[in-house]
Amino acid sequence: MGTILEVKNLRKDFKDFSLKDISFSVEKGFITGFIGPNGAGKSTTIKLIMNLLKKDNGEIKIFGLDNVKNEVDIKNRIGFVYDENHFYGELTISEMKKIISPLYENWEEDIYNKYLEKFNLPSNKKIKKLSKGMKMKFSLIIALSHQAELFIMDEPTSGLDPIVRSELLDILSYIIQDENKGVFFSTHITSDLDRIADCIVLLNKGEIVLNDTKDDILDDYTIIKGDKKTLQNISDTDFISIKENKFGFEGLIRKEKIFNKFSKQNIVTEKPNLEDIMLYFTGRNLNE
Amino acid sequence: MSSLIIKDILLIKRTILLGFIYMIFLVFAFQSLGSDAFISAVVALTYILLMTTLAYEEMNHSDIILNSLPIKRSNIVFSKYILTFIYSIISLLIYFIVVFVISTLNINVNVHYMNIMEIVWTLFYISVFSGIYLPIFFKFGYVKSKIFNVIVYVFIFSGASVISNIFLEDSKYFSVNSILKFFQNHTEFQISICLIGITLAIISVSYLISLYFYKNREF
Repeated sequence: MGTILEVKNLRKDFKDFSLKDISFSVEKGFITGFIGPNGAGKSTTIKLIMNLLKKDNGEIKIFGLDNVKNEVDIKNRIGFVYDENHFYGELTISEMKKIISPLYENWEEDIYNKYLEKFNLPSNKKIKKLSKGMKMKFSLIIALSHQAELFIMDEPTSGLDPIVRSELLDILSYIIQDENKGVFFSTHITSDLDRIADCIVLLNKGEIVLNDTKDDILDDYTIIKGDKKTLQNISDTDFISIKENKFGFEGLIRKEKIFNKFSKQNIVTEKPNLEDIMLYFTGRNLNE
Repeated sequence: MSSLIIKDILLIKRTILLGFIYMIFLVFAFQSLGSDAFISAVVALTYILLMTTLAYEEMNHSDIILNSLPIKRSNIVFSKYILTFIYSIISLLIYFIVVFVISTLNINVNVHYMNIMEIVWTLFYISVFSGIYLPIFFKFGYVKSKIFNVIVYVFIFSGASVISNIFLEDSKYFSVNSILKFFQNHTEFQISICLIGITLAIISVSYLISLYFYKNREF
């Protein structure tokens, strides 16, 4: 195993938002899910990685190389899928392919044709006439057809139906069987990651609040519910966050704290999923 | 690089066909106006082709995808300059084809074949237009640069009359005679070389400015 993408103290300031010195890494052989609410800075981070935005500070290394100095070399080895289609709508699939394929050093026509057939994409159709799912599939085929080692996906599943989403997830699981490849997958549809992610980076308001393997995260935390009386000698700070209503409370807490603070009889515990983790960690949707 | 240029030409293939209709119309409309009118017709067609391409770029947010592919930013910039030259050639070809067809059809229309000198002037005007416009496009993108476009037009039309007034006043430092003398004392060949030199200088400076702007662009 090794690190395929390393982000260190990355900073970017905008007028009304900043990414505050974030650090994380993506390992080979893993699917790393990048989650957070809208406006958390996920797309900004991805744009910085792709050098579409200039960083104000910090370091981004892909395949151990600086992402700006070795830009072209790195991009030859990256497959990307973005949430919106930025191909030329006026061109057909085959025209677009003819333009893109010579740009990549390691273009593989066989693989391209194989996936084109598998996904049933019509080569002579203009890209603007394709459905959203088809456009995403076309981006995915391009990403798969040039021996990319790192796959960067920015909300690829947004706006897609469950069948297409499921197909994408299957392909990602297939890619990752090659242990030299890595996937960095940003989404706010956390159920996609429940299925396939190995690691999770949770971003909120430009800061990383959680960065661990998915299994550890789901094992370390638990949702507890109980009535208000149980809460009397507990401080709010023991919880990641908590919501209360007239009848009781519900909160996310580190598992080990349960044993010293609560007596088992008065509470109910529940295994969280990634959505719960995201909601409690970002403090949204609480105390409603 | 060739990939980028092929892409642009594919994008505007329909506009190129419209260019023929445009040129046929102008050849009829301008028949009594002389060679200058045809120079401006070719310059304007090149400009239309270039603008259409740049509009497509903006419409598709293509900066994001181009800069995610393994392409140097300098190649993206350079390709637009090559493209402008190719569009000039296409526009000239359209002009000559239209003029040739009309003259062989024996219709009662005065056609004018441009000579080499007029072609050099055409390329010179195109380089001035695109040399000013492209850096603005690379800095601000198509939508915002359209405003500058208007300013450029206003400047050229108002500027032209101001400058011609200055020339006609025959000031101490600069007179229309000295320019006329320059053209009289030199052969067409010398003038062409001189114009080509200026054209290349404009394009090189313009390219460097564009490159500087585009390297610092964020998407």
